[in-house]
Amino acid sequence: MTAAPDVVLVSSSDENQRRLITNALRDRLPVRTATGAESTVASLDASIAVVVIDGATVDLSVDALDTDDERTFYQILWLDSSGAAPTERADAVFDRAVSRETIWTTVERLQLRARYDRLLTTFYELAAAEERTDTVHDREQKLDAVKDQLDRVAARLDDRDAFDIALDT
Amino acid sequence: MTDNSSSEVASHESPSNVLCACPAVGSSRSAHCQRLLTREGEPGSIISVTVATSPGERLAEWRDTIDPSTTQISFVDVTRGGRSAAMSSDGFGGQDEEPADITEIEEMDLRRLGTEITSQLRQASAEPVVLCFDSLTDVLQFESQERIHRFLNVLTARVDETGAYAHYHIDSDGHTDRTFETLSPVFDATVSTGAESQ
Repeated sequence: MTAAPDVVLVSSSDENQRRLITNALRDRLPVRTATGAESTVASLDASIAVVVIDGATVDLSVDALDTDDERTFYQILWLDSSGAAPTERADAVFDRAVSRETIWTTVERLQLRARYDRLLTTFYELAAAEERTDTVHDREQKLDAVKDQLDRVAARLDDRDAFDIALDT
Repeated sequence: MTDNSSSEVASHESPSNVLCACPAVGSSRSAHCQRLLTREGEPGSIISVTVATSPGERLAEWRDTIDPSTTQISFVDVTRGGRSAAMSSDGFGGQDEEPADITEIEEMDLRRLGTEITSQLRQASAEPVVLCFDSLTDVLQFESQERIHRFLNVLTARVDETGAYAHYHIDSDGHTDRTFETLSPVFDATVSTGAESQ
């Protein structure tokens, strides 16, 4: 089982905007930055939980974020001057002038959603695995450990978020 | 399901979420259901999810165990799933008065089903609160195993958080061993019986 994704990727070609967002997050979360579409796509890996995209400065089709064959878990926060996202793939949308506090609370929530998605997938894959190298005892211990984490994360999500994440597969 | 041993409950002493694997036809299913409904004494509230069965059938089955005048009973009834909406609205098999509330869900919409159940779990005031989900076999006709697995993770967490007790019926003869192995880790315990002679 790989570590839960927890990194926030901030994508903006506007240095001030990039600094504003990262300053809102950096004390509490690991943050990476990208300055354009290409570097954003290149930075995506399994550690990313949330991608914050400054849609006004980064010419990025959200579909471009889904080119990887592997299943991804990251959530997308889209910032734009119009307050509208170009696609339903965005999980939250705000005007670029959003407050630091809103950025922080939204990213925290999206990070939790990404973590829950990852845990649900891990739990199912463990339970449904056809080839098993573990003993029954080891398998049960692994399943119990993931289930324990799942229940703790579920308790921090409201019903809508929890069912959205569980059923948007 | 290959485990044909007699009834057994594994794992937790007081499990919140129990998988009840019995043949769809026969007396053991009903007997286990009634035992699980009353395992913490007379239930204050029952939330019953019905898919291929009707609320009326469930009430008839519980007639000797549950008193609707002392237990608040509500149904979340999925009207699709092998029976007609008319049969669903018939509800209580000819009884004149409806001793329970019914919330109808017209399609197998897991999101709506889940939020309705969790809403009722939070609103139920008379304890103990018991959830009877009838059945996973019916839901598996409409949804993938993975999607149901994920759905059940949310639901079982909410049952646990609200202090309720739940059991989830599944036809022990209707699925592969792999299905049981995959679903059972979601639950705290499993009650199972072998095939019954008819």
